[in-house]
Amino acid sequence: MIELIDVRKTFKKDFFSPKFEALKEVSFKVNDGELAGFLGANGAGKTTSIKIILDFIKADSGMVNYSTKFGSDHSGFIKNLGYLPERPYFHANLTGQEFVEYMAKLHDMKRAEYLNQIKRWSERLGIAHALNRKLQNYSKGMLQRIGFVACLVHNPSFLILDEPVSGLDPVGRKEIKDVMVELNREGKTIFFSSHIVSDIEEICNSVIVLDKGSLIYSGGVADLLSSRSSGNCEAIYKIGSSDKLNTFGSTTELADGLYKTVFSKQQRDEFVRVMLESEGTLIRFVEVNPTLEEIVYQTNKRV
Amino acid sequence: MKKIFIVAQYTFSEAIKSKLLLNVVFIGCALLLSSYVASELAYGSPEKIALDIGLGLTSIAVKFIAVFYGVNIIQNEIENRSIYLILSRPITKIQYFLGRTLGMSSLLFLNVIILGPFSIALFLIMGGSLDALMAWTLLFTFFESLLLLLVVVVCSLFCSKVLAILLGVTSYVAGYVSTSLLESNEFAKETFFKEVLKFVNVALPNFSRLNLSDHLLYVQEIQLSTLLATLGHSICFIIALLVAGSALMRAKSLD
Repeated sequence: MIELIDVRKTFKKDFFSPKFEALKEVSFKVNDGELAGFLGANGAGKTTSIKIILDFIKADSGMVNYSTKFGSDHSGFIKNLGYLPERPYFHANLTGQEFVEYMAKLHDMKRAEYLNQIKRWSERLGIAHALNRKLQNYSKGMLQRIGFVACLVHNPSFLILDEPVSGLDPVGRKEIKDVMVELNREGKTIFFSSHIVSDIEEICNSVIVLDKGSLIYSGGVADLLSSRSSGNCEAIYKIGSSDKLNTFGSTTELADGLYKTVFSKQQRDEFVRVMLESEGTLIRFVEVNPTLEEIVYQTNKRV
Repeated sequence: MKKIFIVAQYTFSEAIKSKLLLNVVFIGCALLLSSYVASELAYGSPEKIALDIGLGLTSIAVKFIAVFYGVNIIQNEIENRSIYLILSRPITKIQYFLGRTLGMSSLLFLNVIILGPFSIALFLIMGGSLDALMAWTLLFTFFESLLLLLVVVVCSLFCSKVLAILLGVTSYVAGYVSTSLLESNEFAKETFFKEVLKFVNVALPNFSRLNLSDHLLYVQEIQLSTLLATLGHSICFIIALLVAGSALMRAKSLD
């Protein structure tokens, strides 16, 4: 678990410029075992929050609490942490294998142990073939994968990933997301930032949303979606023996004799009954819910 | 200590792989060529000219690496964000700073240990004789470059790279000339300049004491106690710079 309480951070571009408030008393919590997404547009304060959690920079005020299971202080947390920065740059003259070994040695791992882990994760992430190549010859996607191997080599229980799928092709994105879900099922806590809402909606069970340094939402993804649900259903169908179906809610005629009707949830059972009686053909029947993207970016208000 | 050595090992390995040691090959060729020219053209003691050129080139090469490579060893890591990957592991900022510096120092030492004996070997082949002061000269060449490296690295922790290079070079020149200026009659009369020079002489390493080339080439007597005092003087400055660098690194915000 990590918890930020009223964290505030300001920056100054130079001596004469006014202070810019990057984080405005932000508070949120990532519980053990969660797969938490950290959403926000560029400049929202995601990376600043992560740097404060990792103690790379100090907050002006507020505090960061770490789970007692890591020990009472930051150093205990760091031992159990796997971190992948945004657009990571590695030592270009080292090979992939050397780089990951370097990271593993800093965790006091035994040789046999880290070689085994490197083999496991490099194969899983499809980078085993390039381990003996210098990092300067890696593509952006390959660097992201080797960074992920380095992040996992010491079997951490808490992962902080800053834009882990950026720069990857669709197949690579799917693989990384699958690995994140797999790791979360193993009991690892994952906190990852992204500005791609669909990725977070797809795999996360909780989400923290920042906008211009302020916390917009912190909680479950399902809770957020259901709280924003319109409470309506939508059906696309072909009418059968009667056109009674068109009397539900608002109906629009589509091409090829299809109709679309939007009606309230309370009329759902009645609609289905009429559909069966009139022997209509049901093409699609869904509850109308906004996507996370619509909620987060299109409303642009406190959710 | 173990973490410091791990960082040092990979800093060294990275520098070696970046073909930084190629300078050794170029300087070795330059040494061979200059020795040949000296033996053909010089009147008197061509072996001494060859040794002078050899030690001079060695000294310039390591100082060049210390300044222009040293300024990047921490600053580039921050700019490239590769430092985040290291410091998100169980290692302190101070261990990281010491490891990077140790790794870079090893590279300087390797340069001195290859180029120095090469110059001495040429000197011996051309008819020179072995002198115990040669070992001291090489040791002090290494210490001189190490001090310069530390000054530049420490400066790079609180100012830009360009300014760090300028401060490093200025410190070297000021530290080199302060003693001789202090001893000269011209400045001895000016109280203000004398006080400034006295301060510079205390605050900066005395680089001129580390240059033993003249003693070696012109067989000038130098007491062991003087050599040991110079060694002690350098070690004190190295420790002071490491402490200052560690404190700056610890307080440094990595934004």
